[in-house]
Amino acid sequence: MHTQKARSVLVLAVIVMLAAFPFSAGADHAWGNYHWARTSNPANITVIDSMTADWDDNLDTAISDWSKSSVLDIAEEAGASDADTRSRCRAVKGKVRSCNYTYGNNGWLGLAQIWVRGSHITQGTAKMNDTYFSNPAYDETARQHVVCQEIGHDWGLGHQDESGADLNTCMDYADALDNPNPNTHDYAQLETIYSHLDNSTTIGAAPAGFENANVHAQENWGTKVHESANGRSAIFERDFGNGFKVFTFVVWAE
Amino acid sequence: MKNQVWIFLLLVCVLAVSGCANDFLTASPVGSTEPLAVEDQATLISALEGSGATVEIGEPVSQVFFSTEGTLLKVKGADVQVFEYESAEEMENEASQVSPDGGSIGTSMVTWVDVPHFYKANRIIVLYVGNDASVLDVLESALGPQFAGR
Repeated sequence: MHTQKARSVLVLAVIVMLAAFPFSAGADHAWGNYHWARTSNPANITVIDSMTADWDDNLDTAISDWSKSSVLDIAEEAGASDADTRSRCRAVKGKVRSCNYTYGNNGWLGLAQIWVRGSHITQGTAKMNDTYFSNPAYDETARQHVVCQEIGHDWGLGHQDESGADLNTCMDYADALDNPNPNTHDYAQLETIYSHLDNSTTIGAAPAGFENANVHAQENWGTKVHESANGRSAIFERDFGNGFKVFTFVVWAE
Repeated sequence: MKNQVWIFLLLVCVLAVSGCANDFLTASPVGSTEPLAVEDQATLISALEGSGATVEIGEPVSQVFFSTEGTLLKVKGADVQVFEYESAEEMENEASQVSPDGGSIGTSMVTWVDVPHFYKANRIIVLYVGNDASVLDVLESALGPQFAGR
């Protein structure tokens, strides 16, 4: 009687624990250590829509799906969608650009690129190759699968598994492109990747005036933060906010 | 004395013939060549054609993850991309960026239209995206096993 009661209590305790701490299997598909640097969560990342109208709904859905993550808040920004813009698909600092174009008979349906500074992603692109997608064999689900995956890579996600198994996620490496959405493991992995905070951010454009900062005149150097004992050299810091700083090292003439 | 001379001459002849025979047995047949070592696109094409494959040189092909422009070859009717570098060292630097399954190259992640197969030799990287066994056979016979892909 006591044994049976003890067993019941134990089973109940296990159930309560599992409910409180849900087990997340397989959340280990980060793309190296790559992530967007940010000082708080959720990371507010902008995706520039440089896609033709026939891809807009796919991009909208992908952005909506990824925004369900507790650590990402994705905004969509209208971008130029002329052929030249889409073919070049130039990355924009602090943002992701999504493009579609007939990139040629080069073997890939989709390609995601990230630019990094150390482990921090500074900008990214996602390209969908219409050379192949113009083939009706690639249906709406396939298109959704690929755009979801390429955008997902731009957050620092790798493939969930590289065996080629179908894992019911747009982040698998299966030949069948039949998973239009992320799954719980993708969201769990994002939470792991973005569980820490950084001292600076790589998200968004540089503050106004930073990239073309006029630092010729001393009055534009900001605050003196260090000076040598003999006063011959000094370091000035001009803080533009969000981790963007200009340091001026000066050795004074005699 | 006369007999000794004849024996000596016979011995010389036997030795000479045995040396000649050795050369005869080991000599390559007239017109045959040693297997080509693939070093670049030109020798790759020769090696593939030597295996009986039809090879056509097509348009240039560019990949953002490779620094050099490649050439699209038609090998037995299938598209095969060849990227030729200035040196073997430069080739190896770029080949080292390809993940074992071919799914990523450096900071690029790729969704391929079919199964990717990467090969390398001396100054070239060769990429075949497909699954034609006869194409894979001739590529492997010319280049050895793939170094990345599925």
